[in-house]
Amino acid sequence: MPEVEREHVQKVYDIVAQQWHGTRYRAWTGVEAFVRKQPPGLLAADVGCGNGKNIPEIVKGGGFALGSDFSRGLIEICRDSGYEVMVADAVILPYRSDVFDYALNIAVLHHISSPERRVELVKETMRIVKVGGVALFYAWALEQEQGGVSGHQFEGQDVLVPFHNKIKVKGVAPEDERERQSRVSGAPTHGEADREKRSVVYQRYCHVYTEGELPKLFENLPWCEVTAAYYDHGNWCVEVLKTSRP
Amino acid sequence: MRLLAHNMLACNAKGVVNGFPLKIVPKETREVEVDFNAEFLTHMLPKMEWSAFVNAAKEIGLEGLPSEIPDDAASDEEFLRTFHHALLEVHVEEGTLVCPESGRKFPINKGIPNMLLNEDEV
Repeated sequence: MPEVEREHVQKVYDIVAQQWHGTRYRAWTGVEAFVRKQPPGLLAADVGCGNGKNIPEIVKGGGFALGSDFSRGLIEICRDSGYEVMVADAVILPYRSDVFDYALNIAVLHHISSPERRVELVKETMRIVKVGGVALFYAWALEQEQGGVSGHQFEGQDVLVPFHNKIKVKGVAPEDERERQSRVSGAPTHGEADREKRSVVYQRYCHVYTEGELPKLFENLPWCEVTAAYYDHGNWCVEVLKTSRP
Repeated sequence: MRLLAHNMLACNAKGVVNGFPLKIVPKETREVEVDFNAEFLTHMLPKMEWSAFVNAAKEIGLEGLPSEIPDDAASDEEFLRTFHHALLEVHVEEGTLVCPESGRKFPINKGIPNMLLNEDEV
């Protein structure tokens, strides 16, 4: 894994997991709509499941979700919610091929730092889906609506996006908290104290996508068919059907 | 980790051709009741690598599964209940998964398998 993904994605999610979870408690409406289109009672993979916010929707109709994420901090939150999860890298999934009825890959692609690894990532998600199964991919868009939900405007396609890990305990100086967090095992080394906002600021690496960039990831995969491509709340999205084995 | 997850898991480290099924070395298991759903169980049957499942069940101390899926499985409630229990109600909380080819060990801590590979394994 490239160092930028380890330091600016995996380690950041581990250290901010609790606060991340506190503000993200349900699936995005577009993701929910996709899950509801699937017949009930299926086996789904949620690749890069984060805190598990998509899983309640999957299990609602009697289905089952296997979640994976490379952040142990986030996966522990899933486990505490009673979800079936494991720590794994989305670029090399620890699953058999052709077994899942469908897969979700939500807000994962925008943390992958090279074009080759993005193709590897989509191939892995499509590999584990059965022939005739579908996967939904969401990734952050460069094109953001003014005043949109995410509130971000990006300077370029490869950016660092700050995350403020708020300090909840009164009387603790941000510098001291930064120092304490930096000593947590596996913590990022780049955290900075923000006195004004009383937080420790971490930078998440993101590659934000332009229109047409997601479908292009599949252009050399003739066993995959992009059946829909659209924009939803600041993200580019594709729905992909697995038409045969590679 | 429950046996449903285990039946989907494989070691995909560099150089491994057949990393399935992973051997389970359990240290601690826990049972949690789950609602019985015959439709879901019937849907899962053709996805299962059955002999690996039966063997994994034995590894965590569960007997009573037939060595082959019965022909009338969908209408055999006794069979489905045994399947349901082994598939969904027993959690391996602590233990190890071992790749059948390379011997690579993956720890299970507090119910979570750690399947991350090192840089030299990918």
